[in-house]
Amino acid sequence: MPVDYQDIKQQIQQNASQSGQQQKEIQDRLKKAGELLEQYANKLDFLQQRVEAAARQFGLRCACPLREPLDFAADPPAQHIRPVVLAADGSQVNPSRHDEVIFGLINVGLFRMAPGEVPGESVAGHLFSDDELYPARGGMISEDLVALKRDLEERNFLLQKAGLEQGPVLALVDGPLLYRKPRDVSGAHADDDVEKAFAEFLAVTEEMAGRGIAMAGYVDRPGADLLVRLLELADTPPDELAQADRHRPLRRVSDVALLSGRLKPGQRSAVFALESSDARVFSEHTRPHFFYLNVGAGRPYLARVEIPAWVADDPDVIGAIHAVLVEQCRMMGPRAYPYALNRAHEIAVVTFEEKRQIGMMIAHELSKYGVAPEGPSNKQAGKNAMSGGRSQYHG
Amino acid sequence: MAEIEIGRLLRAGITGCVVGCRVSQLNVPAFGDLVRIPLTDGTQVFGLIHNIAIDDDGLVRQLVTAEGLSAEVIEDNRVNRNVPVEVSVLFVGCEQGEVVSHLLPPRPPLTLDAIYPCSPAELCRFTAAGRFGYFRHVLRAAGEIPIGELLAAHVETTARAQKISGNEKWINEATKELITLLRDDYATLNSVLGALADCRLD
Repeated sequence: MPVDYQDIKQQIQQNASQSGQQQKEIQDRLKKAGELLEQYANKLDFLQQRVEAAARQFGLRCACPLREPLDFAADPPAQHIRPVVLAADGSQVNPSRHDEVIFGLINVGLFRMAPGEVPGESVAGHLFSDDELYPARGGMISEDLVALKRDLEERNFLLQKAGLEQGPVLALVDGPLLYRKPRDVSGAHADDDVEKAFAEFLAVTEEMAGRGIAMAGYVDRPGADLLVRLLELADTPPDELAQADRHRPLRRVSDVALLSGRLKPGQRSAVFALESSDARVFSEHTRPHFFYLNVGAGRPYLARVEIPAWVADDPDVIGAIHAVLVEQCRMMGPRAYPYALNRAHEIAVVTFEEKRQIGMMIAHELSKYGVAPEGPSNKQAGKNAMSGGRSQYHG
Repeated sequence: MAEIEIGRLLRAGITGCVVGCRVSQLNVPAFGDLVRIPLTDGTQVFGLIHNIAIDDDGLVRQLVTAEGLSAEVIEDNRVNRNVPVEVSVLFVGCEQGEVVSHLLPPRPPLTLDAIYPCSPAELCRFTAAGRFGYFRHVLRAAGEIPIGELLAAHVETTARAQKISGNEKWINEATKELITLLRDDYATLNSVLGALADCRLD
């Protein structure tokens, strides 16, 4: 049965009629946020103390300024180190009990760009073993753990390939450097496999830092309000600080909205430390920091760039990352996004046809050992039948 | 000397095939060139290149709008990206047991068979065998491919190779044969002779 367009249309009209007022409220809050940004722009010691005090009292997730004022804006440096860019991206096949053959796969694509050289590409695939698919605690591997293992494979591949380079390396990944552990595997529900994979994730991050491999996580169209949250915290009266986690006067104002008019094309914001309980799991050396970058050539288009603490402490490396990312984004024309990451994604992606082929290869191999696949679930078979389309009567 | 393959077969029928090659291999084949495809049973299939198609994709469409495209990005798209140049080949004969025939091959080549350019000696041997029987495969494709231009490109290359090998009569005989074959199709004859007139035959 098709969608009930009449009913949906009424709901659309109702939502749209409310959006004008909501937009006005958000604009008012944005104006207030802008005023607070200017008010606290240079009060870095006060802000750092506020964050420290609040973090001790409740789980806080916000920006913490370092040395640059809040309204800082810098153009990319004209002269900078020219590193080899290694971009990695992973894609995964999550195992599904509805599939004809149950398997899980991580495929990591790596793209290398060096000045004056023909770019190179490599790919590494990891098919989950039976033990990985079916953990000792029961059930099947979770999608969260598959995603964590994918991020781990990306970093391991970057580490391996960076080891082959002679000069400075910039290792790029899509998305944050921070790993936010899912709540259902934290604390009392801790999952040994997640803990083990996360420990490896931290270890490889540490090793990259130890070898001086500059790493950056590129977050496209970020929706976070880390800087806005800092301003809310700064504006909270001292006697209400204990309740500051519920004090959200600037709700629905994003950092991107706040900084869009303040960063000209190619400019970056100040570098901030990322304050959160997840970030504190990292060592002092590798703790995630970030800055915003306007990669738009005309209209502002902001990305968040996450970097480890040791990179945030080195202006030359920040300058190189800033300049390289602007260059990379401009390579893509009007839809600014790092070219190397786009290519890494293209290399990594597992198409539906490739997934089907791998399923057939596994079924063929299993048949040699007398193991026959169960076939698709009835639910999946029904879906497949519906997507087969209709045949026309030709007489 | 190692042979340089142009590309590998994507799809084929009994009258022709389409070969995929990287853009970086594109300096080898040219429109009208004679190519050969060795089969596993010792047969060699000969064909003329009648089309070279370069497809785009979403990324390329986006990149053409970028200002100051870097050399690295251009090289990446030509060397690495999986967008093969498709070279269409019209089969014009085969060779079995060192006997050149202008009949169609008994069976088409298979997926991923390698395609090689013909050397001047191979070109002379194939085009001098028999009585230009392979022209009929080209003429049969009238309306589907630009046969006047194809024949002009082929005749220009072959006449030069034949002349170097001492066979200066080849071009006159080839032209006469084309006139004979097209005597009942004035429009096509005119088009073919017009294209041949534009050939640079030094």
